[in-house]
Amino acid sequence: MLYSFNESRNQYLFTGFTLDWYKGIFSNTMLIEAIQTTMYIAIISTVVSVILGFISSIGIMFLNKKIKNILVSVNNIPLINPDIVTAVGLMLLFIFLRINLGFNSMLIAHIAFSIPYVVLAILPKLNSVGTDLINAGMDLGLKPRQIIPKIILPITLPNIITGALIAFTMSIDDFVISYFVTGDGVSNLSIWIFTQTKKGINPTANAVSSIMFIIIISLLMVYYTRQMKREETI
Amino acid sequence: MKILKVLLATTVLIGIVGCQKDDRETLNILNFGEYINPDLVSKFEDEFNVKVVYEEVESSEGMYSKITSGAVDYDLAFPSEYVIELMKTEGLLNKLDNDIIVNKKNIDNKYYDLIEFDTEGEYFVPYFTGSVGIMYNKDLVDEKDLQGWGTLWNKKYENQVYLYDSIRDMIGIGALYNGYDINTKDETELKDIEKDLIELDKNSRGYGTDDLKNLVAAGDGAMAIVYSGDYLVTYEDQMATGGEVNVGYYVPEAGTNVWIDGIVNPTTSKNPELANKFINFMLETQNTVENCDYVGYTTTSKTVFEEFINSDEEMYKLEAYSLNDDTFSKSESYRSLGVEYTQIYSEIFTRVKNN
Repeated sequence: MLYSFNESRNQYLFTGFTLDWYKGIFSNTMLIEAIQTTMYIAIISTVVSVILGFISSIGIMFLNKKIKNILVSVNNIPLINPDIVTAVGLMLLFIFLRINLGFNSMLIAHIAFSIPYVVLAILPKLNSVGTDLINAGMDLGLKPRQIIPKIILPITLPNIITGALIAFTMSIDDFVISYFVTGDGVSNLSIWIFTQTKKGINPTANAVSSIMFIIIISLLMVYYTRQMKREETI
Repeated sequence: MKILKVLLATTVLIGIVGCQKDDRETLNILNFGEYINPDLVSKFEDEFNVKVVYEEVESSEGMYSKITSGAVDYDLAFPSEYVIELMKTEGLLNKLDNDIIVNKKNIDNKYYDLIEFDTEGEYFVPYFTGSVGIMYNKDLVDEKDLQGWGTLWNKKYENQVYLYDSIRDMIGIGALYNGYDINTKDETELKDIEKDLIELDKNSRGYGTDDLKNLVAAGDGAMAIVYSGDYLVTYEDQMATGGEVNVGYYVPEAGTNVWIDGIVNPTTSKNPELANKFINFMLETQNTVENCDYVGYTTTSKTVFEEFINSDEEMYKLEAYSLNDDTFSKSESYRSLGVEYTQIYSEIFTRVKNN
């Protein structure tokens, strides 16, 4: 981070203070596009995977034990599986289905690898609550279509937020899978940094990383201070 | 209901992103990061009313695997010479259309002569070039000690020499030290090289790649094996920040490895005519100059090089920018080794590093 203000490209000598590398971010169109892609993909894939993960968690909860165990194990496969296997698998699948590699394929891939994390965040909570609360709610006169918004959603909200945060960070963080399923000139931030290696990493990369770091730290601070306040009120 | 709204918004958003269709002809380019002046790409788009889809990878090998995976129909790629040879032998390259590429006359023919597999340049056009050499810190190294590749083995600089962490480059240097061909497949020669490299490994401070230039400039280590481009970056950087250059670049008179990256038209291309037009566009003198200013490596264009060498800029007169004719004539470039010898080279390098 310190060297993102360094006048020289040298990472071992600090010759003087400059903001040129920060200016460099805005004049680099490839980089700007990569940042945009990263953000779009992260936001859309988080929203979609949270919704799909939430629905599938509810579905899994109501299954009988045997099938439930099988599905949970299937859900865990992508978590244990090395990224590179998932990446090549998805790439071959896209080629087989004749889906053009590009933004859409990257988005689908990100949604696919985010869902298991969301399920993993939500399902244990649902399991521990069980069906008793739902039955109680029905007894007290809730209509079936009110069950999800009135009971399940409020209970699992903290877990949904956790799942969303994991999905978001996994998506921003991902390199291996994105690298394989991209095409059509679409690249995200991690791919952009990787492609710099042929010519040597540009200090602009230091500048971008510093900005990302500060944004994420401040988001976390906001999240924690809010949580602390909530705990105090309780 | 809120969920439904979010879902709807998302689908619409995906729809919008997915439907950015463009009627213009497209040209798919696969290149390394920061390896072309982006202004030239936009200029080409305007001039020919086409759309350029520009994608980046990190290495020639990455380029090869992206092209052979068949996922995207690339029209142009910029791999290094040994990957061009591999692609040519595997029939992955289209012949270039010299009726369209009239600016090919600008290219310096010595680069075609260096490449033994395509001296007529039927399949590629040289893009940028550079050499491998020894970068040294002027405060720590006596210039009288710079005597051929043996400089690296000099006991005086024990634990002061950084080596390049790459199979081909290290075995190439072992070969040059012994006066062998850098693509040697001779068993006894390879044994000699291994023995010498093990000795060099013991003499060395460690391995690295791009960061070596910074280590030597900072005085951590007296010398390192670097690419000429690494030296030029340091040179320009030091000129810009302080004006005093504390590092030198030495290439032994016995010759070195010269690399050439070329522009090729893979057989996946859907629009070879436009690809050839792009190559011709890049070779126009004015465009080459703009591209050189951005990329910073040595140009392969004779006309542009003459313009540079006659300018006041000191950098173009450095040996790191262009080898003198004598050293160049003794230098060699990498050839594609084939599966068997790629494996053997890799095993030798592993043994050298793990001894």
